[in-house]
Amino acid sequence: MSTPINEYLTPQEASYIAHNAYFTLKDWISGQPTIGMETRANVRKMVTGDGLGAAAQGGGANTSLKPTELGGAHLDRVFAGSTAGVTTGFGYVLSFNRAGSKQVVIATRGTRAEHSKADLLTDLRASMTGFGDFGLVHQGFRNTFDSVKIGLTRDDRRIMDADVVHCVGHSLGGAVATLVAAHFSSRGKAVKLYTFGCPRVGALGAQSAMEQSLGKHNIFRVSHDLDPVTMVGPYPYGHLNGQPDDANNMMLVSPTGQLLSVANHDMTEYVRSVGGTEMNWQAVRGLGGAVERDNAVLARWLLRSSDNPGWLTQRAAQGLSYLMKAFSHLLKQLGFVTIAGLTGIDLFCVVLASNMTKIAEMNSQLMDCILQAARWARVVVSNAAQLTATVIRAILNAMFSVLRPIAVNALQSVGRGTPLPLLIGGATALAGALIG
Amino acid sequence: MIFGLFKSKLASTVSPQLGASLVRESAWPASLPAAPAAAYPQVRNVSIDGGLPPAGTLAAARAEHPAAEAFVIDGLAVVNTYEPERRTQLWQLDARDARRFDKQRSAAFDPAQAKWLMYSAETVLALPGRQVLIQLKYHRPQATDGLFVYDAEADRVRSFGNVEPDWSRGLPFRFIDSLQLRPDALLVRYQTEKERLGPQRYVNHYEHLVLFSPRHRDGLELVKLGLDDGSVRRWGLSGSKLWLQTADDRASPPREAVWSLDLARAL
Repeated sequence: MSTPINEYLTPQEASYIAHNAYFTLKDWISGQPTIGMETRANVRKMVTGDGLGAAAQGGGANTSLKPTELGGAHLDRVFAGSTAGVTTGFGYVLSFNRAGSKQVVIATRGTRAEHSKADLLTDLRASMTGFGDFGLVHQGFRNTFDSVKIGLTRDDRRIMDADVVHCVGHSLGGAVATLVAAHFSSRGKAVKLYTFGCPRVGALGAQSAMEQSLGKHNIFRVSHDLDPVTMVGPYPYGHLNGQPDDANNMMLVSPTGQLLSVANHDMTEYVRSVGGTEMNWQAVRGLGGAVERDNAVLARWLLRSSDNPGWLTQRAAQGLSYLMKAFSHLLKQLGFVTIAGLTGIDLFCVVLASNMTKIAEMNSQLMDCILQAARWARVVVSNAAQLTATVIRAILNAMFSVLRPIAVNALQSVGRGTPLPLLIGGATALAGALIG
Repeated sequence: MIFGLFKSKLASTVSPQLGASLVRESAWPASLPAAPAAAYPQVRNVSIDGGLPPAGTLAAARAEHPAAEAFVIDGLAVVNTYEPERRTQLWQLDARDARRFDKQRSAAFDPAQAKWLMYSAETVLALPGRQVLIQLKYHRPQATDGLFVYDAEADRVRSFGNVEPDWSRGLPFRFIDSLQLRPDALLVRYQTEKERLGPQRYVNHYEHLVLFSPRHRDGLELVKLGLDDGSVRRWGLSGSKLWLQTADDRASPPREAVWSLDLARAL
């Protein structure tokens, strides 16, 4: 008995494509990436050829599709994309025949922080913009998609002639792949989307509209539970297939165990998590069952982090984490189903954005919890009437002052700066604006 | 002096049984003799047809996407089942018909393996004396790779602990490498502990060179090579002298070195 070949990429194929899309970045092959686009010949060598270019340089990765069933695929075009005004190699189009149908892969690469802050700026720009009929999406990702679309236009006929279009990406590449998938889906194509460590792209219902267009069963979202990039940007941004009971929401236990770490975001770690002989999506789904989805991701991180932000902050962080757990529990009890899959940071944004103080007035437990948070934040509140959006915002500000040093520490090697405060600040402003 | 306390301490350790130490050489030898052929049975990888063991039978070769496969060696099969569960089992083959399974061996990889979400043998390597080295990928639930030696004579599994891929070789992951020193002596190399240099860039802290031979059935760790002396890029044997070319990827460009080690007392 053998597993039937179907119209989906296997986990190995998808993870290899997400990984080797980086080779479109100039000189990524030599391990010293620069700004620009790699030649098609070199990309072909790494995607469907012997893939030895990188290995020969030492320390490179051979994620050639040659030993897979995509070994005979044809590399059509390498295309560029722009992040914050910087144009670089961003992905490729690959075509092949499988099970009697014409299929196309559109691969988009993720963030490269070492040589340019442009990609990071794209990741961190948290403002929203419209995206067709889907609704509001992340402005930075939309801008990058627009630049990628120019390159894809030259392959438009090939893509539109295909029976199936596979969109694949890691990190920022996953976000752009999401928009590419939605774009072609809206034009009537049968599209499959595969993302690894993807940040949140759509907000306020856009993710639902994209899910509806693509079909939830055609969206394969793989993430590590403590991958910080998957928490970008906070509520009201949301993931496609972001609900814990979504079959293809394949959230896996992070390789670092208990720590929120940039290492959990590395594509190599995703390759390792979904890799293995004869690994299929059903098996990857099975691994997802081990993740504790009790919305305590941030709390776990704060409680067990060895990043050691200092004992004082650690003490404050522990107190904060207990509060987050309490909030999470209460909100669930109150039937806030929308909080499923969100982090502790999101929860307080939810409180801020949903005018939760009104609900708190009618629920003593929630009120106690918020008052406790106020005490922790040293915000003087003597009764429910004083519990305003301003007070909640003050609690949030106090939380952020604790979270900042830890978060910056965790993300330092990605951001080379202060990414998370920007994000959190952006989320606060966003949530505040929604209330206003 | 005090600054030395904060320096990297990933030093190498050579087995005292060798009575020798790593010697820094100026260059890699101009030529090295080819490795000898092994004088013990080697592993054959085939599919299992007609259902899972014990009902299924061994095919002549490995088909694409098998529901189960076997690594066969000298009357023993290390079996991976993929459906309905991903598991690895050890089976004794039927003495009258080597395509058929006889009975399952009782040895287990780990007392906690019943709690693992899934596990499968990714690499199986023949060792001298009816032993096999198994690189097992298991999810506990984190994806973990462990190295085990199964002694078919004693029906006993010994763990060599968790291992890391050879990060200097990138993807696809390779966890073990081997060098045939003598027809009945095999040198196995694997890596432990890693350090993240940057996004998707790692180095191994230690490489372990373990000798398996009739004298060293349980494996003798000849060298635990610390990253301060580099990670092995190529290796070879000339007479009783082991040659290693190493590189430390923490430096840019990588800091390279050539070493030799006299193995006469171990061979």
